[in-house]
Amino acid sequence: MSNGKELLNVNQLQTHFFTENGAIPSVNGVSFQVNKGELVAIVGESGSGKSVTSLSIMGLVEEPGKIVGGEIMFEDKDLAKYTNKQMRKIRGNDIAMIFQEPLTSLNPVFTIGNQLREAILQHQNVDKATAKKMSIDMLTQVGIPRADKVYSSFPHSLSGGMRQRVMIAMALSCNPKLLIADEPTTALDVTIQAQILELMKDLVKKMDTAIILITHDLGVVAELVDRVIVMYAGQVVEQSDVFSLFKDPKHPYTKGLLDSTPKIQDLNEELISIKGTVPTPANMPDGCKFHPRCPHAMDHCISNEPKLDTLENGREVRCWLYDEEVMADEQSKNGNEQSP
Amino acid sequence: MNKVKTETNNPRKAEVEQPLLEIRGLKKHFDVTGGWFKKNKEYLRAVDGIDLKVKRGETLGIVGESGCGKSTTGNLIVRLLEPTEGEIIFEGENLAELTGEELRQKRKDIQMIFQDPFSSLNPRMRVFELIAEPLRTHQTHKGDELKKRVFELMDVVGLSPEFAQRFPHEFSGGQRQRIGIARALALNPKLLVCDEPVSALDVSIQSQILNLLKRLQEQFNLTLVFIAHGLPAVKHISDRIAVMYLGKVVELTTREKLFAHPMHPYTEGLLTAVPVPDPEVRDTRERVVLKGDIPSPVNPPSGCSFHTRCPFADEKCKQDTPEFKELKPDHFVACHYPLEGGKGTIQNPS
Amino acid sequence: MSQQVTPEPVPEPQGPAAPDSMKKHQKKSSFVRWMKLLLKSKTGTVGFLIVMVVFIVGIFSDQIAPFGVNEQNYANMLVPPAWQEGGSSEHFLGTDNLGRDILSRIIYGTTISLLVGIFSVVVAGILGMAAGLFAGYYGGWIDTVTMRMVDAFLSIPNILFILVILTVLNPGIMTLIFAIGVTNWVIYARLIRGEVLSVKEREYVKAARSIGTKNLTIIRRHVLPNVFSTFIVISTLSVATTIILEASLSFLGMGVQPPDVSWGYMLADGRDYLATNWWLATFPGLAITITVLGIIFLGDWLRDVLDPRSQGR
Repeated sequence: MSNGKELLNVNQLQTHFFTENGAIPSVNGVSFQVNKGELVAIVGESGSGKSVTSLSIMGLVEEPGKIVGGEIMFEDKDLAKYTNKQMRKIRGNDIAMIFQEPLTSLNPVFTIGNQLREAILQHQNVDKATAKKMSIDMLTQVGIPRADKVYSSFPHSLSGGMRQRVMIAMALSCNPKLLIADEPTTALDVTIQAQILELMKDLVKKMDTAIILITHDLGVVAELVDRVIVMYAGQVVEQSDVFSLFKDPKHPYTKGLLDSTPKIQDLNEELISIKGTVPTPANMPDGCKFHPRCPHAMDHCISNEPKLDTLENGREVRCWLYDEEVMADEQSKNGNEQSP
Repeated sequence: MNKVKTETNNPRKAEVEQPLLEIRGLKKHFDVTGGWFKKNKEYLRAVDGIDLKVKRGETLGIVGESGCGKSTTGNLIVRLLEPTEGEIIFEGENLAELTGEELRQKRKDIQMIFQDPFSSLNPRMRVFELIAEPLRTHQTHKGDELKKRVFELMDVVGLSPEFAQRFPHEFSGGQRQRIGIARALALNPKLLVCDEPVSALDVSIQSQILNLLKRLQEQFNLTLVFIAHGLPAVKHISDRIAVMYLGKVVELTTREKLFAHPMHPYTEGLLTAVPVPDPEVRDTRERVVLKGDIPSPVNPPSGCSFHTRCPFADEKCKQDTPEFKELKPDHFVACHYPLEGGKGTIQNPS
Repeated sequence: MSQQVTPEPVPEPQGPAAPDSMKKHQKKSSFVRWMKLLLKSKTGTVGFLIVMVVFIVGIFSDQIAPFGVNEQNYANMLVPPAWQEGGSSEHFLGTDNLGRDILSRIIYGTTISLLVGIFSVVVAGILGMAAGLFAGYYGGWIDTVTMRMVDAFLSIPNILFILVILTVLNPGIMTLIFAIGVTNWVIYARLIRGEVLSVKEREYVKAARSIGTKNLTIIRRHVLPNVFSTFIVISTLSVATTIILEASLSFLGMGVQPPDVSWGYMLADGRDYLATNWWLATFPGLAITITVLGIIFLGDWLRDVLDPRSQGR
């Protein structure tokens, strides 16, 4: 089924958290593909399951969470079935990850160089001196001035932006095939975020690494990626190339998210929000998970859960508005009431 | 009561009305020497001499990145921190000199909304108690009246009355922020200091809260000081915006002028750094990516504190601190080489 | 897209229902609610039952005990427990070297052990809580002075200090409670102060200050409730260690004085007979173990229940 370009194929992934109140499906049947060298964003708000999806791919889901179904095909291996020991060989080698808060991801008692060199030594067959040279090289590549000085300094002496650069250097040091970036710029100031985004754009051009960018910020998405996956309440609700998505969002949630993202160039735009709140696992609505907040919700949405349908040019959307049968039905029921 | 005579000699504007709040030469330095035996004391200059005026009924946005002193300024205005130097004049009275009971009474007029709706509510108090707390503290309402007032406040911020006996942890971030707003409104304040009230919330919820604040401002004739780390958040709500950098205000003007013709290079950097949610323009739009990091406020650069990151800086900027002055009507800038036309990002401000 | 600010109720099936006349509602059901919460936790239930039994035994010891506390019977010296050879059903847990009924003495000892355990914790707790709250909240010189005092207390071995007090004053139950109380407050002071320091920095304390709440009110309503779970945990553990401490003091002969009896005193008494007549020391020891376990179970459960975030789980 692989077409030679495909790097990752997540199929019907289910990750549940087992609490005293029973199993909570954080990721509920998520499917998507990532091609070699492709930049994909997974967009969603808190509780959408976007982070758990990425942790599932990395095999880093912690107790009481567990992958209970589906497969994660990476090249020809199903990572969902991998043991922790097998995953350790994949992590940092084939798949690397950078996190939101770079300070907690670096060990405070070792120097930057020490940690970077160790990462290289662990995954590549080189001697110490070469590893050091490669480390300094890497630091220079991610735009760190005076890389040899930073090499021997400790994490706390660097600023947030510098630490994130170090994390990127560390993640890319082993030429991974896939890089997962979980909110890489959220903790940073906006002028520093712009620097990191520029850096990532440059690196992507140079390297052939596929990137999954996990974020809530559609602005960052628009700056960087090729394709977008929108998640809501543990499911993929829309999947599209970035240009079509911003020009013509299909799912009402995507549209709402896009409308509520502030546009700095338009001073007098209206303040638009999606009504209600993100549902918690304890009170997940029946039918379409978005229907309580949806401006276009129909009777049909209240009790029937939509499938992820394929539209023209490979776009996918999970919404009854694009089901002809349902819409015809609704229209005849409502007489001459207009549908959007 | 009037310890400080209000300034009336304002030659620039024929402004008869005195501002609700006026900040003069405000400074807050934290001692970060560490260790008892160091001779030279080290200070973190969180706020390093700022002057601001907030008119009645307006919203002043304060924007800046981490370490610029915006939150410290907010905390100083509500007197959660003691100023090191300077005056905070509220309705003709210097808050910086108030202590004890006088200050406690004054707090009724100046309330704050906090950034993190998860830590700013006592987890062991129910919603009713949380909203009733300010009323009980100042003994403004009792018994049935108190009950009525609390439910009235819940209604005003859009919380349904059956939530009254729930604990904060049962709510989402947006609703917790509504509780925080109800508490702040309880005593009918004149000034509301909002310290990044939406930055911890989901994007789709943020505008709910911003709309609510805007509505409440009109309804109760509030004056707002709205602190945020980015310009998008203050864009809607502010009448005027102050941009801070390393403890100083570098630019202050109306939001229209600021967005259309920023005069300080830092403001321009801030404006163009905001990602634009339109992939069509990502390769073509003009932007100024500011180089380098924000310097430490313990050891700020000499001269203009922005010179280390400024694309236009020269020797003069390294040595002389630029004066904060009104370069165009209602447009204050602290820069030796202010941007002339100003690129801005908005083509046609209307 | 909808633009209005619609307050959307969060349907929260777990939370307790909140009717209008909710004060009434709360009072009516609070006992039932507590019982329900208790029955949900196995260890909590066990702890609660043990503690209830111990309390009832302690309060009604006169009525329950089959023999008097110092009733000697030289004809029945060192009788083994009923199930052993030579044991009699009259003395279920056997008798000691003076022919006194062990079961009865344990029952009487319950009163003293509980009295000492609970009241010395009350004394230590109140002192330590106050010191910790004020030192932590106000900081500055109050903090410095209190904490140096704590350090001074901690540098003296606990038991030595109590022994000194007991020697200077007359040994007895009140002295014992006082001595243990004034030495153990430092544990509370230190731990509570640490907690206060972290609670004080939370934003809701700042929020309370910004609305003009007085310092004492902030301590009472915002700081105290949020350090209380820590207090409960130390207290229960402390009741347990105090019962053991009382036992050691009585063991050293400086604790409870005859004709009063406590578990520790019995333990000390039975020491010489451990090799030959094991029941003299074993049963009071068991009484201590079971009681301490019960209190710890109950304390753990209390700590969980007092956290509103755990409610409805």
